[in-house]
Amino acid sequence: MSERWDVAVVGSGPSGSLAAARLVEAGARVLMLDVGHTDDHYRSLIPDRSFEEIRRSDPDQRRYFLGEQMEGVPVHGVRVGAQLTPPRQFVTRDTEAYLPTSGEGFEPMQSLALGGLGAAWGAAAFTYTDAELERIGIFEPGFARHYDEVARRIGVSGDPDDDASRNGFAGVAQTQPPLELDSVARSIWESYQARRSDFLRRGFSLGRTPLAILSRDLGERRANPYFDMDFWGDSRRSVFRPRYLVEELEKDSNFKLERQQLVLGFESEAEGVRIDCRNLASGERAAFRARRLVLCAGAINSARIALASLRLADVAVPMLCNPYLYMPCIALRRLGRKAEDRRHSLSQLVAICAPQDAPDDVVSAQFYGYRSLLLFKLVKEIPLPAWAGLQIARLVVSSLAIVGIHHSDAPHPGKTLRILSHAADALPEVRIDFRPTDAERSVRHRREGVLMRQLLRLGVVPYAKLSPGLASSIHYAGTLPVRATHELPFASRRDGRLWAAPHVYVGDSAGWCFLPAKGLTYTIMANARRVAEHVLRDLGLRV
Amino acid sequence: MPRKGRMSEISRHLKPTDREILALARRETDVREVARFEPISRGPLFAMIAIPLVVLAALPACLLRLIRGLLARDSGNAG
Repeated sequence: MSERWDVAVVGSGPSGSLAAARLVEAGARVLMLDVGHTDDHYRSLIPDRSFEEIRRSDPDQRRYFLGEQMEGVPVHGVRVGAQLTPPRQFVTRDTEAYLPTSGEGFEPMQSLALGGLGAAWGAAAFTYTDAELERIGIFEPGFARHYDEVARRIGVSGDPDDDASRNGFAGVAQTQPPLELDSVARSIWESYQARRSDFLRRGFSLGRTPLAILSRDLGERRANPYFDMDFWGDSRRSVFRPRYLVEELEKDSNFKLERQQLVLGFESEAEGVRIDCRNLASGERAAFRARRLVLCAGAINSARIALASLRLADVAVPMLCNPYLYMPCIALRRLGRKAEDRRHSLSQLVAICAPQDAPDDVVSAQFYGYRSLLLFKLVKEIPLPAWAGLQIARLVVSSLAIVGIHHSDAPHPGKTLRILSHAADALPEVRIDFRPTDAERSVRHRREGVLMRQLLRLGVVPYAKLSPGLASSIHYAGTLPVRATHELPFASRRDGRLWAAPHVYVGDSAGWCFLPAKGLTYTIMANARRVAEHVLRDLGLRV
Repeated sequence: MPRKGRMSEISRHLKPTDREILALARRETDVREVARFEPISRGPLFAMIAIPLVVLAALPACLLRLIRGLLARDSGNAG
């Protein structure tokens, strides 16, 4: 048995890394437990050059664009995780073996990677409004301070004053200037500006997507070089990845990362917690002790660990997931025109559609370019022979925008997670039953209709509507929900602490009781920082 | 069958096969073939005319593929 740490953090993703950073900053001794897979192969193959340059000059491009095993060529239909390029597929390595999950139509993306799902994060950094934070159950006066501190730490670029930011990036002071728009996004932006007041009157606002991408150098990380390679590599570290923060923390003597550790459960002890793990490299069991434990394994796996530890097999807990679909669209004003080569690959613009007579009826849409995803994936979806599909793809690709749509999600008895009975040396299988009601589907359909009408008015013509599955937003939450009283054996408190295990905190989105129609990662980070401060107070350390 | 279901069934039969996509992916990542995959940019009017022309030119092949696909389904061979 090892020494006793002040705090053990399970997981190295967006919540684990930010919680650990806040704890170490305040002087706590922190142990981080994670399997911590990394990509040690593809990273070294990808040249630090632009997509266009690589396409014209690198004879080895097939190795990382298609993958050594051709894993980048999707041979099945659209599915969760299809967006992971070969250099990103380490993010989901071994999850089927160690994080077994079942559920009809709900195939969540999980991770055992260093940096967790944050290693493939699209970097959209939305804030939630105070009303949304209150509905989630995590609002505290001064919550905005955490958004600011996270922005200072990870680097966020955006324009807090543009129209959509009022609903999705409000009040963040520590920002870098927004990144340049690509030619498709610029044409959409110009169409919006020409009729801006009319759009606003209809409850439709457009703005630059706030992104955890550097437009200016920050420490050892460099500004985005506009290489359009952001789906493939981490050029110059301009897009924030949680592992950068973990690597920085490893330089601090108060922090230790234990890799290859699969956390199986915890046991409360006098004044602390014992954490049981299995070392995946040696196969041996290991135990660690800490005064406090912070679960940051993601909503599904924090619940898996907590329910197993609290011996709550076959108990149904709530499960939330933002409904997601995407639409390939043609920006008519760009059709046939040459696109600029200088661009980044991630979300360019965000639209928030919230009718004035129903301000809570929000749907959000993010606009992406397509160029660096290669044409063959596009041809695959065109119902024409390959040769003809290729000509169409070449004609439209410079005017193509992929619009990803997020809806909100709230608890319902038809959306639950439970663990099944299991052996002591493995994590239990998680069963997810996720059946949205007809009423929910109908509301979404109506919202999408409103949004599509506004897109058409912008000259953006959708030509397909694709749903990669119920779990495809990769936004999971709500499994250990915040409650004011100990009414449920799996509930947590507003400060993050589990009611049934007072030395254990939930630092990720497992405690959330609602998911707004926006990306959640930035708020996960801010909330992890908030929970970390509660842990510090609990330990009697100065915040 | 509802109209949407029938349309997606037709679309499924018209889409390129996995083998065709694999071959296309290999060609696209071959430096010598890069010019054949460059975006075509000759003005919006050209694109607006060219797209229907490509679709029309592809129609016979589409119909053939659709008939084959539907026949395969009726004989229980559809993947």
